[in-house]
Amino acid sequence: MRTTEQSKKMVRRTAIGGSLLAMTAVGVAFAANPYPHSTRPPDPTLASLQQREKVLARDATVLNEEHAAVWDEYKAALTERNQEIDQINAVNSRMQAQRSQQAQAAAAAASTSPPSYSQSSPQATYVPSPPVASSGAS
Amino acid sequence: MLRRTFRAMGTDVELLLVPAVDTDEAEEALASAEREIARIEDVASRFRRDSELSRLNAAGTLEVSPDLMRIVTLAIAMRDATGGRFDPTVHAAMMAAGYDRTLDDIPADGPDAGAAQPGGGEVIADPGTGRITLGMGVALDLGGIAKGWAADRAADLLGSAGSCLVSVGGDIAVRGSLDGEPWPIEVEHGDDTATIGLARGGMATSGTDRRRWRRGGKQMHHVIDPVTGRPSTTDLVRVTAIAEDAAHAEAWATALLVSGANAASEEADRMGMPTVLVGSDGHTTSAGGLV
Repeated sequence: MRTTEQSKKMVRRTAIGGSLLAMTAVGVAFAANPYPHSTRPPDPTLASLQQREKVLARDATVLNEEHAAVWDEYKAALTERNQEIDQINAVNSRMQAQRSQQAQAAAAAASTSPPSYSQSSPQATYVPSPPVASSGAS
Repeated sequence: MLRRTFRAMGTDVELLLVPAVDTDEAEEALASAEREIARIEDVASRFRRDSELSRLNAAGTLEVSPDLMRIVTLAIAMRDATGGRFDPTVHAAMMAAGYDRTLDDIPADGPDAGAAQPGGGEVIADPGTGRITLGMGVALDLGGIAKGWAADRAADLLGSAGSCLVSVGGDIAVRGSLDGEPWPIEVEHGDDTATIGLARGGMATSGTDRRRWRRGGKQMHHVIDPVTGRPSTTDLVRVTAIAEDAAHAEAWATALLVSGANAASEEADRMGMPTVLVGSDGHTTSAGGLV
């Protein structure tokens, strides 16, 4: 016959055994399902997309590097071209100044000498000959 | 000297040849020149519905013959060279002014001419593809250059048979000389005439006083100012210009006419282009070294 104390110990042991059993069951269940918070198994499409994302990220990195290289090259060419334009503009400015001086000199000369176009044209002149044709307005 | 006259391009044509070949060859050269002018009329007349130009104007885009391509590209080049004072895209203005048929057939009076039609229309001529494309509503009138062009081409042919002069309605091309002297050509001077010796190239006259008609009570003529889209109203009624060939002379005569006397005289002097300018008061001046 079990004493009251023995009965209490048995109840305690039974409770502990039940708890261990329950924990074991949870452990077994967890081992069977590594995603205990998900009711669905892992999606292979998601994995594929994640892999693809990594590839694209790598590609983007490569493209950015290539773009940066081309951009640097373009900027260098642009800078060089701008320098050439600056040089051309400088030459043009000098020539324009020279032309302006020449025009002023020519204007001053024209005020004291007859214009060159007063010379007769070798292509056409008035002549006393009787005409053979007429240039009438049509 | 051999002479042949006939009608073409709505005007009188005259071929003069001092032959350097036998009579048969000279006659064949004259016939070739006549055929050439007729051929160019078939290409560039806007009064022939079946001409290449009419088909281009109707379609807006066309793969054209080398002849039309050359005439149009020259006309566009002359529009640029004259700052738009000569412009082949004044077709609409010509029509609005009543010049919708040959000068001989235009009625003396008629209703109002309608809205002004300035030039400056888009023309894309691509010699590489042989295609000409006109902007929306744009049509070409080559009357201001085609007669000179025809005179030049006929003179090219005729010149192979001797010294020659070709006049297509007064637009003149010469090759060689007349017994060692420049070709003497009559030019009107107000109420009088004078003779100009043309040693080479071409001569053309553009005038507003010869052919006139009325629309809505207003005087009309065929020289359109591309800026206003109306018949020119400057103080010049007639300009004779002399240039490297008749086509250039014809375009410049029109451009100088719409410029007015002062500007035309200054420009002719500056270019060294012999020019006769007849004002509306009959006063005549020479410019460009013509003395």
